[in-house]
Amino acid sequence: MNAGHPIAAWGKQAATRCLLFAFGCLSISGVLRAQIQFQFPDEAFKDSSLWDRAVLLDEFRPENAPTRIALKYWDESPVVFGVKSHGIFGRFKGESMTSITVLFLDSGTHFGYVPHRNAAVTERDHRQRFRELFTKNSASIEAGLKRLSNGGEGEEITIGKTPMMEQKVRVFKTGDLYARYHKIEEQLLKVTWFRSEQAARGWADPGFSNLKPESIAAHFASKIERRGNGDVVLNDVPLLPQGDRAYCGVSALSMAMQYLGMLAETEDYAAAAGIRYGSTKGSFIREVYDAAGQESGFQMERSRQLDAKRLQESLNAGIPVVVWRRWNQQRDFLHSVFARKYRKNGEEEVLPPADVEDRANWPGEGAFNHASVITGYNEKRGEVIFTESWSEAVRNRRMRIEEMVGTTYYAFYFSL
Amino acid sequence: MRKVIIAGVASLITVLAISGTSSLQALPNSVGGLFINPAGMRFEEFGARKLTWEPNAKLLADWELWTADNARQPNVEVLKLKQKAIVFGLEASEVTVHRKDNQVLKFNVFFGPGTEVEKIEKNIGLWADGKWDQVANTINHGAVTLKLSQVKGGTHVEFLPKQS
Repeated sequence: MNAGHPIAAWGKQAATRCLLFAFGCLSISGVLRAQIQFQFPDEAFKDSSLWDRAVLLDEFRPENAPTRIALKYWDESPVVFGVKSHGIFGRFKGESMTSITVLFLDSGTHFGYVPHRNAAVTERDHRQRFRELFTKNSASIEAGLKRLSNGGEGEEITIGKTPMMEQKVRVFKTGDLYARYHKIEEQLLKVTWFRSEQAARGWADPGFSNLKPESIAAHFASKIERRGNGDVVLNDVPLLPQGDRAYCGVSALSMAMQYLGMLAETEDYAAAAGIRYGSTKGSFIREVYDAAGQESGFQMERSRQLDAKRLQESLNAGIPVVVWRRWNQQRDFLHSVFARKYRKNGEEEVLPPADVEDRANWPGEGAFNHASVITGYNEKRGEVIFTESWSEAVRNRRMRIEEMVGTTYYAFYFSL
Repeated sequence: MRKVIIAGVASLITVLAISGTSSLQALPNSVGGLFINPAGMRFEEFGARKLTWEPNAKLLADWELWTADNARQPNVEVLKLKQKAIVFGLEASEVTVHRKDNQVLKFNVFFGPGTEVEKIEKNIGLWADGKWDQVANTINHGAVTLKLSQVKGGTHVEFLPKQS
């Protein structure tokens, strides 16, 4: 596994973990008692009642995510079905865990970030070995799912309505849970366990698809926080870390879409876009954005310019905007420093004016390309509030609206 | 195959529709391979936080043993950051950590001759809570004291436990 994956980022001492887990297992079952030491309990793939037990839930990090929807990661990278996974994460809605995903093999995680110039060499040198690993691991996963479902072969179904997001998957009944197995050649091996069959059979979050249209607008309007200083902020956009992968585009999309009621994960979008061997070279990220918009039931409009008025209208409806923008280290440093000083000193801190001198430092043609989610604005201060797919540490940073407009080369608006 | 054909046609239409501006076709992919990607925070934030300096604290991102320097310092483990190191908004040539008994002793950030010392000093001043001690060339921030020194071929910034 690439050690940089966010799943691997949650460090904790093994001894403490073993003690905690061993203690917890005593209260669950004899089977679990034997499964200590970084071994995810197989019972949790069959018995949804365990998903409500503190002893299991407490093992997922972070403990207190600021958003209602949050992905929480199991420590280290457990072995499941005899396969050393990239990691396990639970999707939480408030206190309740709604699904568990085991990421067995993901091209982006396996290879890490690969720049375009190295894409061909990486594929040439590693293709055969990656294929062999894919074949070996898929056989182990399929045997494991068969065992968990008492000899069942699962049911092959197609999820998704659009060609780009259409995927053939297998759904297995394991105990009182539903496991959805994704197998996409040269890209992805993943199993997600759901509590409900409805969730397993599509991309949509049943909690949203069961809402009446008039309730949906009210739902998103309720997510807006209007602060005394003029901030209008959407605090509930989940943070889905891209890790050391060329996934900023698909992670930003996943963050917005999870908020808007699509259960597809970052790795699903990466696979749909064809991000292979760690590189986005030749991939179809933009087309996947279009498809995700259609899948979600929202109208998605892609514009070559960020329009400040349109941005405010979207945020006033409780809906974030995703931007693709030019990026450089110097500006990122400035925004990082400003975010910290603003948190400390409050309103007295102001960003430099967008004058000629400041504009000369903005990233121009030839700069890095990056995706961010705009989660708020402050008209009085002339700022947009944006969140990166890196970690909670970079939630709700600030930038002058002129700079965001001046460096965005695609804006993605969603509307009901 | 069907997806590829559909996406290819869609891309071709898009290219034809908006051709003329180079960055319009650019996919958001190039912010990668940096410390912040696996670590989730900037290097200087990681280096200045108290937790990083506690015994057995985990080093974020990927580090490798740096044997050349290690040989010169018995009992001290020297590791080099594997990711590209951008520190204080500037690209460093090298970042190393010195550890003893699994505890950080110091971080060493080296900027090559292409990075002006004035720029480094200015950016550190922007970032840090403290003020420069012009005699010792040090500044405090969080759990650390930063010491800046010009050496042959570049500039060193050391992250040391805060000196009162």
